[in-house]
Amino acid sequence: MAGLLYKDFVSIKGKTYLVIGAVITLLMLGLRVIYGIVESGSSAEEVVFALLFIISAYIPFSCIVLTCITNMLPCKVIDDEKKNKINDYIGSLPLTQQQYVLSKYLFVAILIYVIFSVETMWGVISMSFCEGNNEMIATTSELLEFTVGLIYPLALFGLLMAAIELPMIFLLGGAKMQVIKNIAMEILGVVVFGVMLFVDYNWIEEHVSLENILAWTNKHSFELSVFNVFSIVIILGLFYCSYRFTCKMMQNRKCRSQIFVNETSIAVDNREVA
Amino acid sequence: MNKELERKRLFIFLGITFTISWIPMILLDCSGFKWDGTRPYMESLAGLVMLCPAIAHILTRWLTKEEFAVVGQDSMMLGITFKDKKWKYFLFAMLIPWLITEISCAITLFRYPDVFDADYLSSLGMDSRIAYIYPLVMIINGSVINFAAFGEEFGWRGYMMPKMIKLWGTKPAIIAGGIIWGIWHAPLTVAGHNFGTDYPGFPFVGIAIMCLFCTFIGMMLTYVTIKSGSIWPAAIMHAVTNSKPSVLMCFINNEKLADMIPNSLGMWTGLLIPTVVIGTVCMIMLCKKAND
Repeated sequence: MAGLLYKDFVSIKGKTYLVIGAVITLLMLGLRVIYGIVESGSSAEEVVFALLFIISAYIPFSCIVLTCITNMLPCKVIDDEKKNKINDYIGSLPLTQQQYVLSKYLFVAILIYVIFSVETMWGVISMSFCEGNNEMIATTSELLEFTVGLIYPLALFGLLMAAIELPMIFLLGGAKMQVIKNIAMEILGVVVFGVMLFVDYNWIEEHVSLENILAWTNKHSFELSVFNVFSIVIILGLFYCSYRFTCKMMQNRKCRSQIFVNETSIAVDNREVA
Repeated sequence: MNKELERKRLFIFLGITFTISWIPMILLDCSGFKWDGTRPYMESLAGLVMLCPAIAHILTRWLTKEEFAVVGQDSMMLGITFKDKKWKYFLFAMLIPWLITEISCAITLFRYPDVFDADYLSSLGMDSRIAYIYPLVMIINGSVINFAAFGEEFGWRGYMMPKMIKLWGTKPAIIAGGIIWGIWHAPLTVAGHNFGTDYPGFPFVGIAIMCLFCTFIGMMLTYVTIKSGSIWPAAIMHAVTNSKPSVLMCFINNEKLADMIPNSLGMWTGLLIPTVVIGTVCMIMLCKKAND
């Protein structure tokens, strides 16, 4: 299992991204140290301030990009195995089909957890700038809080999308899955365009204002807290159900013969025969 | 087992951990930073030093050419298994911090009944119903968002404790490990972490009490690590302990409590009793297993 996870890690150039992530983290920490020791109003502070804006803009952008990348990676990993004919090699290992499927699900879950952790670290470092000497930077704290607050829901969204997509990737393959995703995005685009064409903007301005939204969230803070907490439990449950569903479907599909001869491994069969 | 090599690895790990943790912590102390709740963002940043033991673990294995095994003997104990009833240690890790915090709050309320305030959450502008789901919220948050606690446990329980147990046996290892862990917190204790700065004997009494806490909490963490064969229950327990899940806490008026207690160290006496009791039970069970 660990070997399969490492293989997938290497196939997505994980070491390179790990080094890039570590360098970015160290740069941000270094910047924070410099910001802590420069004098208020100096040109060094202006440079740090400019860099801070880049970092602040970077976090929400990187959250979205990393969520998209996380969704693309399972396709890439499974497609690469078929393209490079690694499937035959995996089929000869003492692994069951269930372990192979489990390795892919685990890989996606670990990837999302690591990305979420790194993003949270970057958010913590960025927000620490708001307690420095510069008043203008301090005023960006609300914006930063909002963007850092996006990290957790985006991680959950990534997990939910993985739970939906992984069974289809296993059953249909990466290329067909990409076609389905493109069709779904185009349908969504048409729906959004249609709503924008025909919606009553006056009604929206009247009922969907920032004040109304804030009032609603304050009124239902308990329900939102419950939803916030239980959403992770529900999504993890869906992820597990997705895994069980994939295992069940793989057992019943002809595609299992492409990787594994039987439900049990060849090595186990040979031992039983002996 | 090559004891000399294991001892060398242990000291390299401790050297790296203390170096990469203490440099930023001491710099923070020198900058005048105080851990008093007035700079929550800086406190979160300071909390990132929790990842240093994990970094030291990886560096030590790399430098001393030790294998990066995920499971098994001399491994990093990153695997998770629920077979052989090991799932109960994960449950233990989630629920014991809740039990300890509730007992600690009950002791506080018993000693200072005037601090009970049924409308405390409402006075803070929060929905009072949150009190009843607060422990669950903290347990789930701690179980899921635990990368900082994982950073510490990956180092202390994932590397240091197995090495120490092999070299010195279970009991001396747990006591020594707890004292080392407490001393590691020293720069943060000097900044006022956990105990503030207004108690007699600051900061040495605070460091001593931190060593005591770390030893007994270390007993629980080592117990779940050894029994489950994984560092994940320890990471969960550490994260949930830091979250302080408790229903009773939502009804304790902290401002009134601060006025009644002579110094901030007094707030921790309630926590000490259940920690010592449960830690001792875990230690007895571990030593019994070691003797068997």
